[in-house]
Amino acid sequence: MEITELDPTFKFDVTREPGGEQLMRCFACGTCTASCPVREIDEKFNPRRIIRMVLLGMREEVLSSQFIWLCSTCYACQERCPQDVRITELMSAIKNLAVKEGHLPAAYKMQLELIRNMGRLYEIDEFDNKKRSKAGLPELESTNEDVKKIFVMTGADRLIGGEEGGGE
Amino acid sequence: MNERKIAPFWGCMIPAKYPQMEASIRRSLGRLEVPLVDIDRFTCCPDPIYFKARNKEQWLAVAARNLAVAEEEDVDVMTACSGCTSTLREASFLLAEDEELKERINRRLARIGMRYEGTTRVRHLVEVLRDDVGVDRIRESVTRPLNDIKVAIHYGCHLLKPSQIMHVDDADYPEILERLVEATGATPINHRERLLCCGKGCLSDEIPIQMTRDIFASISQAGADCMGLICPTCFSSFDLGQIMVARKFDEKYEIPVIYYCQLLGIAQGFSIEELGLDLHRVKVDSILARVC
Repeated sequence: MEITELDPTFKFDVTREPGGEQLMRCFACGTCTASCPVREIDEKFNPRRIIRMVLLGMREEVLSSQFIWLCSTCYACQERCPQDVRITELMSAIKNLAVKEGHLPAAYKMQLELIRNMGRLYEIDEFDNKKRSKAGLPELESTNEDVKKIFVMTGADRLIGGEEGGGE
Repeated sequence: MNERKIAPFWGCMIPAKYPQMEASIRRSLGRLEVPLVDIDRFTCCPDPIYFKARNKEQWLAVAARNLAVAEEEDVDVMTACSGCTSTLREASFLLAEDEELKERINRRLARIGMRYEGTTRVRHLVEVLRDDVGVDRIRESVTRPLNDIKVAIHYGCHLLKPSQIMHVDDADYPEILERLVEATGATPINHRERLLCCGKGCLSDEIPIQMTRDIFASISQAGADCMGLICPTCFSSFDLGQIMVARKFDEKYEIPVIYYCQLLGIAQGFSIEELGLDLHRVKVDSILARVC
């Protein structure tokens, strides 16, 4: 990789995302990677390496990667980080930026559509309600207009192909 | 402290996929005379992994709406899922910490005719059991103690962490579930992967199955009769997950996975059907045969 391909503004974009503020505090000790249960199984996910890549400005390599989506958000790294980088939140901030730049995994998109349309991650159909009433539980509805409105006003609708977001 | 009534926040998975958990919570808490007020206006919390990774402020707006619903209804929230606990607790933390952010979110809520002042208290049901009911009253409600049943506890991640926000128990040396399990007469047992993540948040087909395998190797080695937990996401990783581990690695554990209120419900004398114990993939019969 050539030095001219690096984007020195990348790290600032990450620190501007909510949760990414503490990025620059990293002194690369590797406690995160040593704590990470995902890394123990699959070397493709390596938090220290991801942080270095962000600091170096490897924008495309990070944002279009599959590995940023491997974080299971267990917080093991965040709890142990001696510099309070808040790594789990940082990973979330990096994902937020990846989504802004057009990298939204299909599974994520599907879940958003469900929440938008029903206010829930799982549809409650007639079968579920039957199962519920057999267990002595009240019936539930599967729709929520407020959530649809929040999706439209915050622009969440745009990426899942809904109405244009109003923003603020 | 305020004397608000408690509203259960059921989330998405429990009412749709695992109504047995909801039934066990309603029954066991009913036996302990914890009055619950049902609110039908809550939506997905929304989930702290997928939705938050998509856009944190949009996630916060939907979460703030749920907190505002509780405030309008003058209730505090009791969660039954670690994901819901994580989202609602973090959302209330962020909104309390940052006045400017709170006003920005409130401008959005104003467009659906709502506002959040910041008074909703969010607790997981195990905190309600520990702090409001108390271990002694739980023990007194037991009519069929689970003597000699060894329970490997799985804490999961989002109940305890980030510790800076959650404050449920010590994140490295928690004991809340041990005390609650002991109250049923069962014996909590330690195992080396007690605090390992279930892996469900990881966007991969392979990694979560491997994590489930590691956890079951650990609790099987420790001699557990069953696993006890408090999160529906972890439950899905382990109940169905054991079947996937058996297929992929040809390793059969068949260790029943039981939500805490189902364990408590068995000890309080409720029937298998009342607790939905017949709905599990990994059969619970081995445990029931020893206590019923």
